[in-house]
Amino acid sequence: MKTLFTNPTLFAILVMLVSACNDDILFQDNPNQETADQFWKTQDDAIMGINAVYSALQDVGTFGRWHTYVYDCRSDEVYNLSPWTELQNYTKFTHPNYNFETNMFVWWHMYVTVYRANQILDNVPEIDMDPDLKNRILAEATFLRALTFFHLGTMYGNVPIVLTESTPEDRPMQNTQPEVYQQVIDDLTDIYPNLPDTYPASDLGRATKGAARALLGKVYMQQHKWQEAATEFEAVINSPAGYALTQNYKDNFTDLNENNEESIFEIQFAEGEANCRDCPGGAEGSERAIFFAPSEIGWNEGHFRPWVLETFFEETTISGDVDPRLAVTMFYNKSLYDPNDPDTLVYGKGYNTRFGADNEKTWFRKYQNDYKQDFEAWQSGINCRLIRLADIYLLYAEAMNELNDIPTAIEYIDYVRERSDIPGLLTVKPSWTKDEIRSQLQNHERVLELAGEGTRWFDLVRWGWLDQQAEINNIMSRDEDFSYFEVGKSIFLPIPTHEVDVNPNLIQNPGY
Amino acid sequence: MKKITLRKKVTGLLLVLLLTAVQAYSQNLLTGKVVAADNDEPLPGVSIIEKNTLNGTVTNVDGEFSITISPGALLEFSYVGYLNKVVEPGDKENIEVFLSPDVRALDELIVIGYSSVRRKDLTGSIAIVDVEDAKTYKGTTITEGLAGKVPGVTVLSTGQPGSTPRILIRGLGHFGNNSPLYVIDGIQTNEQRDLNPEDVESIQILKDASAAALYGSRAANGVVVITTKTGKSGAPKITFNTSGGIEQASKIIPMMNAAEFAELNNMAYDNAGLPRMPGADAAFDPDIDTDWQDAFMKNGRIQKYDFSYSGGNSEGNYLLSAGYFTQDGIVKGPEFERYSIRLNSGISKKRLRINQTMFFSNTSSDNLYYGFGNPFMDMLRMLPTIPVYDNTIEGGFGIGSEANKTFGTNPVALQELNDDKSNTNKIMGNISAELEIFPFLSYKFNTSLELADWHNRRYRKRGLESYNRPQPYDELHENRGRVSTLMYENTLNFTQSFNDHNLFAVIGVSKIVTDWKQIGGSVFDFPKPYPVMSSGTRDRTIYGSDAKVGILGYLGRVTYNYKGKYLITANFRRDGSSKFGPSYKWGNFPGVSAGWVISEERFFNYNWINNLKIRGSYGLLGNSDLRGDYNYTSYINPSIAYPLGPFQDLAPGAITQLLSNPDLRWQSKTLSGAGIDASLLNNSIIITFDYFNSITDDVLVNAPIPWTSGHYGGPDPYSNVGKIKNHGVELAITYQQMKSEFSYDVTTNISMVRNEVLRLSEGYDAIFFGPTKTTVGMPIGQFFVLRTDGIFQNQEEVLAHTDENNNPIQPNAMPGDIRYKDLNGRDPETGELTGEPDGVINLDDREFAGSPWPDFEFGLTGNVSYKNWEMRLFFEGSYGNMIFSNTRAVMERMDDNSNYPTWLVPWTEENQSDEYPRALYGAAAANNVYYESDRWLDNGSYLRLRSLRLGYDIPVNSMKTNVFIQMQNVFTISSYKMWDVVHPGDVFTRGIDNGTYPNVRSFIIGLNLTY
Repeated sequence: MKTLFTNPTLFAILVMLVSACNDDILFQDNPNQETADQFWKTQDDAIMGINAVYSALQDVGTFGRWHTYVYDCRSDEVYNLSPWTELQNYTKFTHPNYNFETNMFVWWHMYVTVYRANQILDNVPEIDMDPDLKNRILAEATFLRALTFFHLGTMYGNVPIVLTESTPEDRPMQNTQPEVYQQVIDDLTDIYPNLPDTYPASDLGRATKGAARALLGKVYMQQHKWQEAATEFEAVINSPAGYALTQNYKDNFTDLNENNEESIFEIQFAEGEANCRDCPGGAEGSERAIFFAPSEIGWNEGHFRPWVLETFFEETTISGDVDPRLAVTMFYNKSLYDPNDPDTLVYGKGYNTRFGADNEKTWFRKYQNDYKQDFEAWQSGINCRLIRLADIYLLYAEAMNELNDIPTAIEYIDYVRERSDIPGLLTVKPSWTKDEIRSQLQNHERVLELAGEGTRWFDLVRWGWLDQQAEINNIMSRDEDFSYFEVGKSIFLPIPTHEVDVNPNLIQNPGY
Repeated sequence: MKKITLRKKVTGLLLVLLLTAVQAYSQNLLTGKVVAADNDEPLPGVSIIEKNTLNGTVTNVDGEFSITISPGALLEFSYVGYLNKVVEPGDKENIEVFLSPDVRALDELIVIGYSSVRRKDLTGSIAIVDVEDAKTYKGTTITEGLAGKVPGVTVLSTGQPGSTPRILIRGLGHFGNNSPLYVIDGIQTNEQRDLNPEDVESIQILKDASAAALYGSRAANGVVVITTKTGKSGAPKITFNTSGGIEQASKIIPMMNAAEFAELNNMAYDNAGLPRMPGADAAFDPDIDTDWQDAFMKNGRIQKYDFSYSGGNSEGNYLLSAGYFTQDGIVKGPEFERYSIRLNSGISKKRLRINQTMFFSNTSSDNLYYGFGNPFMDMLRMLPTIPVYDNTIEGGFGIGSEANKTFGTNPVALQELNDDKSNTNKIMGNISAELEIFPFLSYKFNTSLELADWHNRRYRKRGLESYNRPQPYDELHENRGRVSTLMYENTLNFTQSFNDHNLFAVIGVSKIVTDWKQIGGSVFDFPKPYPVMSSGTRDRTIYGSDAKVGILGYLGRVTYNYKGKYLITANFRRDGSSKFGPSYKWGNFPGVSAGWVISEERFFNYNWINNLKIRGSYGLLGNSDLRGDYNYTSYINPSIAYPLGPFQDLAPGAITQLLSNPDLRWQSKTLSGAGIDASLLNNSIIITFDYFNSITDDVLVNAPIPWTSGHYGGPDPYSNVGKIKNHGVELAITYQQMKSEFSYDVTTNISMVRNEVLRLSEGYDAIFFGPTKTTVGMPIGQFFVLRTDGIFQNQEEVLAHTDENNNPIQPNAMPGDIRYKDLNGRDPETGELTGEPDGVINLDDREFAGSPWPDFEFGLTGNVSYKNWEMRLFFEGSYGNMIFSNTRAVMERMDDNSNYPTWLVPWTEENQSDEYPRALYGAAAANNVYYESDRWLDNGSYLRLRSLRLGYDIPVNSMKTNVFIQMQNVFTISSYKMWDVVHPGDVFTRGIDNGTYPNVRSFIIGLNLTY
């Protein structure tokens, strides 16, 4: 021992050995982020949590890009001529690769929303906070989860209902579309009383009671539960929120008058380029505008079928003009219809100059930024009006018509027509049968009012047009892509192979 | 040289005169000279013994000797560091004996981590790399030169400038990162791109548990121990080496010209009943015929300059080296440059020895920018009817149009419009002090620092690179960061021999702390041409993060041998890592190995066997090399926002995005092995044989989990999911012969490795990844695809392809479409797979269709030298592996607009074949282009002449000058049609060709000077 203390070298060695044994370095806390265990303690945590659930609606697979593509481009209203063959195939009900990017992101991002909502529902109840706010936040999360399942159930049919926070080991069981819809109905029925009719300005954009009941009505519509649907729609129509159609139809598709009186639920988007989402300074925009913008401006991924354009010319306004909704809905070659057309501008350059005088192609104009700039950036700030009153009016009219209340049906159809200065139905024709009203909605009113807003696919499904080959043949006459449609199969998308492979409880959709 | 020859002649004359007298005694007087075969220097002090006698002598300072021998005597020459040589002089009176340096000298000290061991005392499976040989391959890193050289070591490289090859030791032990640990001058590190190959003195590859166990938690993939050069005792030395050459694509894929393309493209549209693509028909422009390979590929250059001076004596040594390396590859855009400087020195004073290494490098690269696709695939995808340059398009590049529609990207435009650069400054150094406390005990303190500062910057100019992809803003993305790793190690070394017992031991503590810091940002829209962060005008963002990882280890090794015959080594390491949760931080990694040198035994008297050793080892290794440093729990992402309110102010959001596994724990690898080392026939044949078997349990993997979990935005969470067995054999044989001025040697090695999944945890019954499936009882990542069964030649064949009820299985198929095998189906009640056909072709019909893992891999090196000439050639190859070729699919699928290879002759009525289906564009072709199909599988076996070198030593006084010409990747024999048959893939993507940068053929000349 004596040697040890008198020999400086040995002592130095001892010091080093002892200091080396300190195991502090093995305990490293992440200096960047809170752990999930540290979070979910305060009211602010709950608010930030619910904001993050809304944020999931912005991604490309939810409502940031593919939503319109999956619904509209596959419907009979729109076609796609993408040089990207896989993408074009998708609108032709042809899927050589079920993990194809679009199919992957749509499925995945929907479930990201579900996972986030479930984190709220599992963790926020434990937080000590304002009980009303807590209930509201739980209701918002439930609404967002229900919204997601409504879309998942419609697109994929047989999807797993996931209601709790996920763990890596979860291999959820598969459910049927009726089960999924029932879950949506139960959830919405349960929570809409906890949602406010309106929010203070700073919270504009959150889910309201009207949004929940409108969505509930939409689910009932898909199930042909006309009375239940009508009840929900009436509640929306008579809501203290005071919903009303905007005077200017175009206000529903720009960033100038967002969250307006017609809007029932709107996905919020803001401009700003960034190469990531959910990252510092990340993108908050929608990629819809650049996706559908014409060649030279954007990716050129969708065109309205000629029949949609023609439908706009079936009627004129009271003063004999072209339906004003046409120019809002699409870019088209106006000179083909109007010899005096001065080469209408498309993003600052005449249609004829840009695309040729005899070009018959059309492009989406709703949600495009041409009203303020001559280009499209990757991220567009225009909010997505996911549920707006005009749709609810027309759905209400459809429900009332099915319930044999034709006058009410006409009343609500006319509200929509009159906003665009189209004469009332009874002016056009003194009497209407139930079948005529239904056909008018199917082939005219809903097309002109809602083309390109992602509603058509729900309509085709609801009307049973995708269930029988005879109907398919009928659709085929205006959309040849339906020659690839297989009854009993194509109504659902294929579940991504990844999911079927990794989860033994999932079986691929019929026919795939 | 002249002088020597003259002296030799004089000596010879004298001998002739003395001849008679010598014979009278019935004894011969033999004189001669011993020189080193590698540099013709005379060797002083070589011991010469007449075999089976006590008669012997040694050479003088000039390497000369004279000895009287009996007729028919055998003379054995031995010299430290050189191979023993037995010569039968016969009736010669004068001989010149060449001793070749024994790179495998048995007394050579082998650095195996924390201590050195004499080669003959090794008990583990340690590959000692012939570094001089490895260096002859001119690439960015030294590891490229290891390809095919070391049994059990697979090197997968690309030709990309500045790329680091993927290296696998003994196949795959697990699913994670399988890169070995690098220990460079005692510094534990991962990559070695920045290391100058010229600085390397030795490389040892620790393949088994006995040796690697001292690196415990980081050693599961093997350990590559690299020691850099130091000054040697003797006169100061100056070296200057330079080489340079050109690189070119080793293969050009024969693609159609515009007219041929148009014909096939029209056929594809016609067959689909679609109006033809105008650019191939009505709007076909005969003036445009772009060869995209020609447009994007070019001849590259490679240059290397290295300078060093070094020296030393018994009290100290020094070495300074400086190097420059540049390479720009075979496609437009990328470029790589490295400047490096090294200073290594050491002093000895009394009982203290201090050594130091310090390395600095600056690397800069222009990166190959991939964009949304892959520039190599784009060369095939872009249509020959699109020009490379087009002034009417913003940016000036041809991108296609409605008339020439493609989803491909102009690869030239992609590189020109994206200025993507990286720059790294790296400092790596250590200082160690070793104190001899007692003659048998020394203490060593070693501390090291590795520090890298990096800067990445990409400026995307305005302009179009592909059709329908406008670029409204220019953009700039930059990031900078620093990673530093500090290591402190204290070790005690004990060495004692008493009688025939030799005992060595080392114990120590090792502490490693790694610190990461990074910051980055981006900004869009530059109205003026100043692409710096401050002059962008919109959407400025900034981000940054920190990380810290700590590893603490206690280690010990005891080696004992008796008479150098019986050898035993035991290792132990206990490691803790901050990467694991509180309950799972520590892991124990023991290892033991033993050897028996049979040739030292008294009973062993086979003269033709010079050395024979058998050895065996057993041990446990770990792997904590997880991507991400805090994986054991879930975190809240605070960077989520949502615009709310009338002004759409961003409301902050925060939530968990990535799932985690709190029970993450060490995976353990139990590795056992046995081997034989033998030298035969005067050491002219050297054989090393190894068998190994490893079992990895609690395998850590980012196993795919369902997307329904909502886990998104990062790799799948780590889980400990199963158990894998990995076993194999390795054999290396060297044959060398030296006959005065002519010598040659051949080394061949072969390794066979098999892996098998023994168990997967519940919930991970099978791991699917792209076209592969990993499941119990099979090797990892087997191709799992639909089986094609030729082409329907006519309608009858379509109708004849029926299920058991005689219903056609592919009723919508047309003649010329692909027939698939109906191999499986589902029970309509339970939904379970039945294993029976069900009359439907879908993904249930996938089956195992081949492996990305070769049956065996081999290498063969041959050296021949004659006088001053030397020729070296090196073959390597693999056999039995398959490739899934996404690259070939791009141009053969025909449902997408791409160019087509000239060999693609689609099925037509007139040309009925079983090789390719009919040309068909769009959705109608869906059934012919299933992704998960054996249509895209290819044979990956190959034999490659990796390098061929011819060298010449120029005889100049006092200076050693060597010039050489060399060709790399001379030819490859393989049935694979794409650019390169070798693709570095990850565990599950091994064998998948996603358009990797191919290895390139290069022609190099060089000069090495030593003064």
